[in-house]
Amino acid sequence: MEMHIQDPLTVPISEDGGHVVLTELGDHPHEAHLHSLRINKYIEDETELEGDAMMTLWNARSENFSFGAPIPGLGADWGGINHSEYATQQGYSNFFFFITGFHGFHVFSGVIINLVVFLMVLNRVMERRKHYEMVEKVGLYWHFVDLVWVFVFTFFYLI
Amino acid sequence: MERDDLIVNDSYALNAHHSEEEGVAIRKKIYLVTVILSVITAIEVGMGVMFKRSEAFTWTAIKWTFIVLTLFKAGYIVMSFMHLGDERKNLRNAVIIPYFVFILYLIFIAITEGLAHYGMDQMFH
Repeated sequence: MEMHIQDPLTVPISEDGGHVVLTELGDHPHEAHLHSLRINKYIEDETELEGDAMMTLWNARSENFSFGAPIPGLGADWGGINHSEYATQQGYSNFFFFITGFHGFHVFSGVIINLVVFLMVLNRVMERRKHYEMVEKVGLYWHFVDLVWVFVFTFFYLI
Repeated sequence: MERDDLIVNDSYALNAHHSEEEGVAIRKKIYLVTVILSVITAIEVGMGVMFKRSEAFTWTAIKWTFIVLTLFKAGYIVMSFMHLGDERKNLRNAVIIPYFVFILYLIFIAITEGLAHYGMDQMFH
């Protein structure tokens, strides 16, 4: 789809006239229009948007939930990933919360399991079993969670 | 259930006693690994604070530094905390080499598909 840019500092986000103001265009201003993947880096504080402009932005984002189905009120455009720049952003936050959410769940259960095995040791369960294998297993699980965190930390928080 | 396989011959059994010197060496190794991992993490966080994200080559170099340091840390965790380093060389290789190949494949596919998505996005605008 062809984008019509009237003003180098604004980018239309839908056909019924909503605009988002860009605050930073980098070394090559014309590239900002082409590289829409990067557009979300340059959007001005969204709380500044009001009324129709805000609704347009909201609709442009909601469109990505429609999986290709047209949404009433948004014109003849097919939904899904078309002209909406927020597809990428949406995908990123889905991915981010999917990964960190599952990791958080693993950490939570790891803490519980560590606590359980600690209480077992205090109650001399391992003495009765005559071996400490369960401590070793729980340690292995905890270090697996640790290993995952090393990568989550680098690829989501450092880079 | 009585696990005599564990009780008789395993180092995690109650009757597997370490001498005092061995205990000192084991604790020393744990502290050493902890210090190494903490120092690497501190370096990573320090770099993240110092350098600004950009499109320039500096940031690319820093990203790859992060990745290399991370792989180093992961190796230490697996070898030391998860005791893979205590295994025989053949078993160690049998675990690590498939992972290494799979990670190379993952990196290839992530870069290829990422660039394809990027290119599609440019094409349709």
